[in-house]
Amino acid sequence: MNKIRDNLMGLLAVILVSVSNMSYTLAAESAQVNADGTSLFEIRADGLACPYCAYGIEKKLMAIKGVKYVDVNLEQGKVLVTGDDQLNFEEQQLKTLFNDSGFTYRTIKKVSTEKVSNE
Amino acid sequence: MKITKQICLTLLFVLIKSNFAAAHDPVFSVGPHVLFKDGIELHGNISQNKSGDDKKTAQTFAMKYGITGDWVAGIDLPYKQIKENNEQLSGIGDIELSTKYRFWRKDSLAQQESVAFLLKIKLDSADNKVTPNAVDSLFSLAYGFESIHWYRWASVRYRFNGEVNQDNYTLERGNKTFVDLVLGYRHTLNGYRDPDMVYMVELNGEFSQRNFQRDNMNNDQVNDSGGEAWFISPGFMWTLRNMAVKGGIQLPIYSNLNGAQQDSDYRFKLSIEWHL
Repeated sequence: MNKIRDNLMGLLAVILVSVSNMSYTLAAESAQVNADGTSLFEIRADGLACPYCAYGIEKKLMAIKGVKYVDVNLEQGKVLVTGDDQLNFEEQQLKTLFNDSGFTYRTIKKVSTEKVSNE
Repeated sequence: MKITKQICLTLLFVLIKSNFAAAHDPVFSVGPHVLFKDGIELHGNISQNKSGDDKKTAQTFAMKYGITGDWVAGIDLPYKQIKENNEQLSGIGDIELSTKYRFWRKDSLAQQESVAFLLKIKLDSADNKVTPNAVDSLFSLAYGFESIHWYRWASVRYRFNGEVNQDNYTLERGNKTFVDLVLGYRHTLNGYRDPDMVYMVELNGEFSQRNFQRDNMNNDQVNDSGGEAWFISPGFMWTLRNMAVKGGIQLPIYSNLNGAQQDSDYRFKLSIEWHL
Protein backbone atom coordinates (compact mmCIF):
# COMPACT_ATOMS: atom_id res chain seq x y z
CA MET A 1 0.00 0.00 0.00
CA ASN A 2 2.83 2.29 1.03
CA LYS A 3 4.67 1.33 -2.13
CA ILE A 4 1.71 2.28 -4.26
CA ARG A 5 1.38 5.57 -2.37
CA ASP A 6 5.11 6.30 -2.83
CA ASN A 7 4.88 5.54 -6.53
CA LEU A 8 1.86 7.82 -6.94
CA MET A 9 3.65 10.60 -5.06
CA GLY A 10 6.69 10.11 -7.24
CA LEU A 11 4.57 10.22 -10.39
CA LEU A 12 2.84 13.36 -9.15
CA ALA A 13 6.21 14.97 -8.44
CA VAL A 14 7.42 14.08 -11.92
CA ILE A 15 4.24 15.54 -13.45
CA LEU A 16 4.56 18.73 -11.39
CA VAL A 17 8.21 19.17 -12.30
CA SER A 18 7.42 18.47 -15.96
CA VAL A 19 4.54 20.93 -16.05
CA SER A 20 6.64 23.45 -14.20
CA ASN A 21 9.49 23.04 -16.68
CA MET A 22 7.06 23.19 -19.63
CA SER A 23 5.52 26.43 -18.31
CA TYR A 24 8.98 27.86 -17.77
CA THR A 25 10.01 26.86 -21.30
CA LEU A 26 6.83 28.35 -22.84
CA ALA A 27 7.27 31.54 -20.86
CA ALA A 28 10.90 31.75 -21.91
CA GLU A 29 9.96 31.19 -25.56
CA SER A 30 7.22 33.78 -25.30
CA ALA A 31 9.63 36.29 -23.80
CA GLN A 32 12.06 35.55 -26.58
CA VAL A 33 9.35 36.23 -29.16
CA ASN A 34 8.49 39.51 -27.47
CA ALA A 35 12.11 40.56 -27.18
CA ASP A 36 12.89 39.74 -30.79
CA GLY A 37 9.51 40.43 -32.35
CA THR A 38 9.01 44.10 -31.61
CA SER A 39 10.86 47.05 -32.99
CA LEU A 40 10.58 50.76 -32.31
CA PHE A 41 11.16 53.53 -34.84
CA GLU A 42 11.47 57.23 -34.12
CA ILE A 43 10.46 59.44 -37.02
CA ARG A 44 11.19 63.19 -37.01
CA ALA A 45 8.66 65.34 -38.80
CA ASP A 46 7.93 69.06 -39.02
CA GLY A 47 4.59 70.84 -38.86
CA LEU A 48 3.16 68.81 -35.98
CA ALA A 49 1.28 71.43 -33.98
CA CYS A 50 -1.94 69.75 -32.88
CA PRO A 51 -2.93 66.19 -31.96
CA TYR A 52 -6.15 66.31 -33.98
CA CYS A 53 -4.27 67.17 -37.16
CA ALA A 54 -1.70 64.39 -36.55
CA TYR A 55 -4.37 61.68 -36.69
CA GLY A 56 -3.84 61.29 -40.45
CA ILE A 57 -0.27 60.13 -39.80
CA GLU A 58 -1.44 57.52 -37.32
CA LYS A 59 -4.09 56.26 -39.73
CA LYS A 60 -1.68 55.95 -42.64
CA LEU A 61 1.05 54.28 -40.57
CA MET A 62 -1.39 51.80 -39.02
CA ALA A 63 -2.36 50.73 -42.55
CA ILE A 64 1.20 49.45 -43.11
CA LYS A 65 1.65 45.73 -42.49
CA GLY A 66 3.59 45.08 -39.28
CA VAL A 67 2.80 48.39 -37.56
CA LYS A 68 1.25 47.75 -34.16
CA TYR A 69 1.09 51.12 -32.45
CA VAL A 70 1.72 54.78 -33.21
CA ASP A 71 2.31 57.60 -30.77
CA VAL A 72 3.12 61.26 -31.40
CA ASN A 73 5.23 63.69 -29.39
CA LEU A 74 4.28 67.13 -30.71
CA GLU A 75 6.84 69.16 -28.77
CA GLN A 76 9.74 67.08 -30.06
CA GLY A 77 8.23 66.59 -33.52
CA LYS A 78 8.52 62.84 -33.17
CA VAL A 79 6.30 60.01 -34.33
CA LEU A 80 7.01 56.75 -32.51
CA VAL A 81 6.11 53.58 -34.36
CA THR A 82 6.04 50.16 -32.74
CA GLY A 83 5.96 47.17 -35.06
CA ASP A 84 7.10 43.62 -35.55
CA ASP A 85 10.68 42.67 -36.31
CA GLN A 86 9.95 42.47 -40.05
CA LEU A 87 8.91 46.10 -40.16
CA ASN A 88 11.00 48.42 -42.26
CA PHE A 89 10.52 51.79 -43.90
CA GLU A 90 11.94 53.44 -46.98
CA GLU A 91 12.73 57.14 -47.14
CA GLN A 92 10.55 57.78 -50.19
CA GLN A 93 7.66 55.89 -48.63
CA LEU A 94 7.79 58.10 -45.54
CA LYS A 95 8.20 61.31 -47.54
CA THR A 96 5.03 60.48 -49.46
CA LEU A 97 3.16 59.31 -46.37
CA PHE A 98 3.91 62.47 -44.39
CA ASN A 99 3.22 64.75 -47.35
CA ASP A 100 -0.14 63.03 -47.91
CA SER A 101 -0.88 63.65 -44.23
CA GLY A 102 -0.04 67.34 -44.57
CA PHE A 103 3.39 67.36 -42.86
CA THR A 104 7.07 67.22 -43.72
CA TYR A 105 9.17 64.11 -43.10
CA ARG A 106 12.74 64.66 -41.86
CA THR A 107 14.53 61.55 -40.53
CA ILE A 108 13.97 58.05 -39.21
CA LYS A 109 15.91 56.11 -36.59
CA LYS A 110 15.45 52.55 -35.39
CA VAL A 111 15.58 52.98 -31.66
CA SER A 112 15.29 49.46 -30.32
CA THR A 113 14.24 45.89 -30.92
CA GLU A 114 13.36 45.39 -27.27
CA LYS A 115 9.85 44.80 -26.10
CA VAL A 116 7.99 48.12 -26.15
CA SER A 117 5.02 48.71 -23.92
CA ASN A 118 1.85 50.05 -25.49
CA GLU A 119 0.83 51.68 -22.24
CA MET B 1 -38.46 72.10 -27.32
CA LYS B 2 -38.58 71.57 -31.05
CA ILE B 3 -35.05 72.97 -31.39
CA THR B 4 -33.80 70.74 -28.57
CA LYS B 5 -35.26 67.73 -30.35
CA GLN B 6 -33.58 68.73 -33.58
CA ILE B 7 -30.22 69.27 -31.87
CA CYS B 8 -30.47 65.81 -30.34
CA LEU B 9 -31.46 64.27 -33.66
CA THR B 10 -28.61 66.03 -35.44
CA LEU B 11 -26.04 64.92 -32.88
CA LEU B 12 -27.47 61.40 -32.87
CA PHE B 13 -27.30 61.28 -36.63
CA VAL B 14 -23.72 62.45 -36.53
CA LEU B 15 -22.75 59.90 -33.91
CA ILE B 16 -24.48 57.05 -35.69
CA LYS B 17 -22.97 57.92 -39.01
CA SER B 18 -19.63 58.30 -37.22
CA ASN B 19 -17.93 59.66 -40.29
CA PHE B 20 -17.41 63.29 -39.38
CA ALA B 21 -14.36 65.36 -39.39
CA ALA B 22 -13.57 68.99 -39.51
CA ALA B 23 -10.26 70.65 -39.57
CA HIS B 24 -8.49 72.80 -37.02
CA ASP B 25 -10.01 76.02 -38.29
CA PRO B 26 -11.78 78.89 -36.52
CA VAL B 27 -15.47 78.62 -35.63
CA PHE B 28 -17.00 81.46 -37.67
CA SER B 29 -14.35 82.09 -40.29
CA VAL B 30 -12.14 79.90 -42.45
CA GLY B 31 -8.60 78.69 -42.04
CA PRO B 32 -6.14 77.00 -44.38
CA HIS B 33 -6.47 73.57 -42.82
CA VAL B 34 -7.28 70.64 -45.08
CA LEU B 35 -7.57 66.89 -44.62
CA PHE B 36 -5.11 64.04 -45.11
CA LYS B 37 -5.21 62.22 -48.45
CA ASP B 38 -8.13 59.78 -48.73
CA GLY B 39 -9.41 60.97 -45.36
CA ILE B 40 -13.10 61.53 -44.78
CA GLU B 41 -14.39 64.30 -42.61
CA LEU B 42 -17.93 64.22 -41.28
CA HIS B 43 -19.23 67.37 -39.73
CA GLY B 44 -22.52 68.35 -38.15
CA ASN B 45 -23.37 71.73 -36.76
CA ILE B 46 -26.17 73.81 -35.43
CA SER B 47 -26.16 77.57 -35.80
CA GLN B 48 -28.54 80.35 -34.92
CA ASN B 49 -28.76 84.03 -35.85
CA LYS B 50 -31.03 86.35 -33.89
CA SER B 51 -31.83 89.90 -34.95
CA GLY B 52 -34.72 91.52 -33.06
CA ASP B 53 -37.79 89.35 -33.57
CA ASP B 54 -36.19 87.45 -36.45
CA LYS B 55 -34.46 84.18 -35.76
CA LYS B 56 -32.76 81.80 -38.16
CA THR B 57 -31.66 78.33 -37.12
CA ALA B 58 -29.83 75.83 -39.27
CA GLN B 59 -28.55 72.31 -38.78
CA THR B 60 -26.00 71.30 -41.35
CA PHE B 61 -24.49 67.97 -42.21
CA ALA B 62 -21.26 68.13 -44.21
CA MET B 63 -18.85 65.62 -45.64
CA LYS B 64 -15.36 66.28 -46.97
CA TYR B 65 -12.83 64.15 -48.76
CA GLY B 66 -9.06 64.59 -48.89
CA ILE B 67 -8.03 64.43 -52.55
CA THR B 68 -4.38 65.03 -51.65
CA GLY B 69 -2.64 66.14 -48.47
CA ASP B 70 -3.28 69.76 -49.53
CA TRP B 71 -6.58 69.59 -51.38
CA VAL B 72 -10.04 68.83 -50.04
CA ALA B 73 -13.55 68.81 -51.52
CA GLY B 74 -16.84 68.73 -49.66
CA ILE B 75 -20.59 68.91 -49.70
CA ASP B 76 -22.91 70.60 -47.18
CA LEU B 77 -26.58 69.84 -46.71
CA PRO B 78 -28.45 72.22 -44.38
CA TYR B 79 -31.86 72.01 -42.76
CA LYS B 80 -33.16 75.47 -41.94
CA GLN B 81 -35.82 77.07 -39.81
CA ILE B 82 -36.65 80.72 -40.21
CA LYS B 83 -38.86 82.92 -38.09
CA GLU B 84 -39.28 86.26 -39.84
CA ASN B 85 -42.04 88.87 -39.59
CA ASN B 86 -44.11 86.45 -37.48
CA GLU B 87 -43.88 83.90 -40.26
CA GLN B 88 -42.22 80.54 -39.71
CA LEU B 89 -40.62 78.48 -42.45
CA SER B 90 -38.58 75.31 -42.37
CA GLY B 91 -37.10 72.82 -44.81
CA ILE B 92 -33.99 71.45 -46.43
CA GLY B 93 -31.79 74.27 -47.71
CA ASP B 94 -29.61 74.49 -50.79
CA ILE B 95 -26.75 72.07 -51.26
CA GLU B 96 -23.32 73.68 -51.04
CA LEU B 97 -20.24 72.35 -52.81
CA SER B 98 -16.81 73.44 -51.68
CA THR B 99 -13.14 72.90 -52.32
CA LYS B 100 -10.04 74.16 -50.56
CA TYR B 101 -6.49 74.03 -51.85
CA ARG B 102 -3.50 74.74 -49.61
CA PHE B 103 -0.98 76.18 -52.05
CA TRP B 104 1.72 77.23 -49.58
CA ARG B 105 2.93 75.47 -46.46
CA LYS B 106 5.95 76.03 -44.24
CA ASP B 107 6.63 73.31 -41.69
CA SER B 108 9.09 73.62 -38.83
CA LEU B 109 9.49 71.95 -35.45
CA ALA B 110 6.04 71.94 -33.78
CA GLN B 111 4.85 74.75 -36.06
CA GLN B 112 2.96 75.04 -39.31
CA GLU B 113 2.24 78.09 -41.39
CA SER B 114 0.09 77.89 -44.52
CA VAL B 115 -2.14 79.68 -47.00
CA ALA B 116 -5.14 78.22 -48.80
CA PHE B 117 -7.68 79.22 -51.39
CA LEU B 118 -11.30 78.22 -50.94
CA LEU B 119 -14.23 78.14 -53.36
CA LYS B 120 -17.78 77.44 -52.31
CA ILE B 121 -20.89 77.35 -54.45
CA LYS B 122 -24.39 77.36 -53.04
CA LEU B 123 -26.67 75.73 -55.56
CA ASP B 124 -30.32 76.57 -56.05
CA SER B 125 -31.37 73.02 -55.25
CA ALA B 126 -34.11 73.56 -52.68
CA ASP B 127 -37.59 74.34 -53.88
CA ASN B 128 -38.73 76.40 -50.92
CA LYS B 129 -38.34 79.80 -49.31
CA VAL B 130 -35.79 78.96 -46.60
CA THR B 131 -32.95 79.99 -48.92
CA PRO B 132 -32.90 82.53 -51.77
CA ASN B 133 -33.66 81.03 -55.17
CA ALA B 134 -30.25 81.88 -56.55
CA VAL B 135 -26.79 80.45 -57.02
CA ASP B 136 -24.19 82.14 -54.79
CA SER B 137 -20.44 81.67 -54.92
CA LEU B 138 -17.81 82.44 -52.30
CA PHE B 139 -14.10 82.93 -52.82
CA SER B 140 -11.73 83.00 -49.89
CA LEU B 141 -8.07 83.34 -49.08
CA ALA B 142 -7.02 82.07 -45.66
CA TYR B 143 -3.74 82.26 -43.75
CA GLY B 144 -2.93 80.27 -40.64
CA PHE B 145 -0.09 79.86 -38.16
CA GLU B 146 -0.25 76.98 -35.68
CA SER B 147 2.14 76.17 -32.87
CA ILE B 148 2.07 74.22 -29.63
CA HIS B 149 0.57 77.15 -27.71
CA TRP B 150 -0.42 79.94 -30.11
CA TYR B 151 -2.62 80.08 -33.18
CA ARG B 152 -3.19 82.94 -35.62
CA TRP B 153 -5.55 83.03 -38.57
CA ALA B 154 -6.60 85.69 -41.04
CA SER B 155 -8.97 85.43 -43.96
CA VAL B 156 -10.83 87.43 -46.57
CA ARG B 157 -14.00 86.10 -48.14
CA TYR B 158 -16.02 87.56 -50.99
CA ARG B 159 -19.49 86.29 -51.77
CA PHE B 160 -21.13 86.89 -55.14
CA ASN B 161 -24.85 86.80 -54.46
CA GLY B 162 -26.97 85.62 -57.35
CA GLU B 163 -30.07 87.38 -58.67
CA VAL B 164 -33.46 86.31 -57.42
CA ASN B 165 -36.30 86.35 -59.93
CA GLN B 166 -39.63 87.27 -58.34
CA ASP B 167 -43.05 87.37 -60.02
CA ASN B 168 -42.72 90.80 -61.62
CA TYR B 169 -39.21 91.96 -60.80
CA THR B 170 -35.64 90.81 -60.33
CA LEU B 171 -33.77 91.37 -57.09
CA GLU B 172 -30.06 92.03 -57.51
CA ARG B 173 -28.62 91.02 -54.17
CA GLY B 174 -25.55 93.00 -53.17
CA ASN B 175 -22.30 91.10 -52.81
CA LYS B 176 -20.71 90.66 -49.40
CA THR B 177 -17.13 90.85 -48.11
CA PHE B 178 -15.97 89.20 -44.89
CA VAL B 179 -12.74 90.00 -43.06
CA ASP B 180 -11.59 87.84 -40.15
CA LEU B 181 -8.74 87.92 -37.64
CA VAL B 182 -8.40 85.11 -35.10
CA LEU B 183 -6.16 84.36 -32.14
CA GLY B 184 -6.05 80.95 -30.48
CA TYR B 185 -4.33 79.69 -27.35
CA ARG B 186 -3.64 76.23 -25.97
CA HIS B 187 -2.77 76.50 -22.29
CA THR B 188 -1.70 72.90 -21.75
CA LEU B 189 -0.40 70.42 -24.26
CA ASN B 190 -1.49 66.94 -23.26
CA GLY B 191 -0.44 63.62 -24.76
CA TYR B 192 -1.43 62.66 -28.29
CA ARG B 193 -4.27 60.42 -27.09
CA ASP B 194 -5.52 62.81 -24.40
CA PRO B 195 -8.16 65.54 -24.72
CA ASP B 196 -6.93 68.84 -26.14
CA MET B 197 -8.46 72.29 -25.73
CA VAL B 198 -7.79 75.46 -27.73
CA TYR B 199 -9.50 78.76 -26.85
CA MET B 200 -10.11 81.26 -29.63
CA VAL B 201 -11.28 84.79 -30.09
CA GLU B 202 -12.30 86.06 -33.51
CA LEU B 203 -12.86 89.53 -34.90
CA ASN B 204 -15.29 89.25 -37.82
CA GLY B 205 -16.17 92.12 -40.14
CA GLU B 206 -18.95 92.03 -42.75
CA PHE B 207 -19.52 94.54 -45.54
CA SER B 208 -22.67 94.19 -47.63
CA GLN B 209 -23.47 96.10 -50.80
CA ARG B 210 -26.98 97.40 -51.38
CA ASN B 211 -29.59 95.34 -53.16
CA PHE B 212 -31.26 96.58 -56.33
CA GLN B 213 -34.79 95.88 -57.41
CA ARG B 214 -35.16 95.79 -61.17
CA ASP B 215 -38.26 95.57 -63.36
CA ASN B 216 -39.20 96.68 -66.88
CA MET B 217 -39.42 100.32 -65.86
CA ASN B 218 -37.00 100.91 -63.02
CA ASN B 219 -33.79 99.85 -61.35
CA ASP B 220 -34.21 101.05 -57.77
CA GLN B 221 -31.88 100.48 -54.91
CA VAL B 222 -33.37 98.84 -51.84
CA ASN B 223 -32.78 101.31 -49.06
CA ASP B 224 -33.08 98.81 -46.26
CA SER B 225 -30.16 96.71 -47.39
CA GLY B 226 -26.39 96.68 -47.18
CA GLY B 227 -24.09 98.05 -44.53
CA GLU B 228 -21.30 97.12 -42.21
CA ALA B 229 -21.16 95.02 -39.05
CA TRP B 230 -18.39 93.85 -36.74
CA PHE B 231 -18.44 91.02 -34.23
CA ILE B 232 -16.21 89.73 -31.47
CA SER B 233 -16.47 85.97 -31.17
CA PRO B 234 -15.11 83.89 -28.31
CA GLY B 235 -14.96 80.19 -29.05
CA PHE B 236 -13.28 76.89 -28.30
CA MET B 237 -12.13 73.72 -29.95
CA TRP B 238 -11.99 70.52 -27.94
CA THR B 239 -10.50 67.46 -29.56
CA LEU B 240 -9.88 63.86 -28.67
CA ARG B 241 -7.69 62.15 -31.23
CA ASN B 242 -9.89 62.14 -34.39
CA MET B 243 -12.98 63.79 -32.91
CA ALA B 244 -13.57 67.50 -32.38
CA VAL B 245 -16.24 69.66 -30.79
CA LYS B 246 -16.17 73.33 -31.72
CA GLY B 247 -18.37 76.17 -30.60
CA GLY B 248 -18.62 79.90 -30.19
CA ILE B 249 -20.83 82.93 -29.97
CA GLN B 250 -20.70 86.06 -32.15
CA LEU B 251 -21.47 89.26 -30.31
CA PRO B 252 -22.00 92.52 -32.24
CA ILE B 253 -19.63 95.35 -31.36
CA TYR B 254 -20.38 97.79 -34.17
CA SER B 255 -22.92 98.06 -36.95
CA ASN B 256 -23.79 100.65 -39.56
CA LEU B 257 -26.62 99.15 -41.54
CA ASN B 258 -28.46 101.12 -44.22
CA GLY B 259 -32.11 102.09 -43.69
CA ALA B 260 -34.35 100.27 -41.26
CA GLN B 261 -32.61 96.96 -40.65
CA GLN B 262 -32.47 94.98 -37.45
CA ASP B 263 -29.06 94.87 -35.80
CA SER B 264 -27.81 91.42 -34.91
CA ASP B 265 -28.34 90.38 -31.29
CA TYR B 266 -26.13 87.31 -31.40
CA ARG B 267 -25.11 84.32 -33.45
CA PHE B 268 -23.91 81.00 -32.17
CA LYS B 269 -22.52 77.85 -33.66
CA LEU B 270 -21.80 74.42 -32.21
CA SER B 271 -20.30 71.64 -34.26
CA ILE B 272 -19.00 68.13 -33.96
CA GLU B 273 -16.49 66.63 -36.38
CA TRP B 274 -14.92 63.30 -37.09
CA HIS B 275 -11.83 62.47 -39.13
CA LEU B 276 -11.94 58.99 -40.61
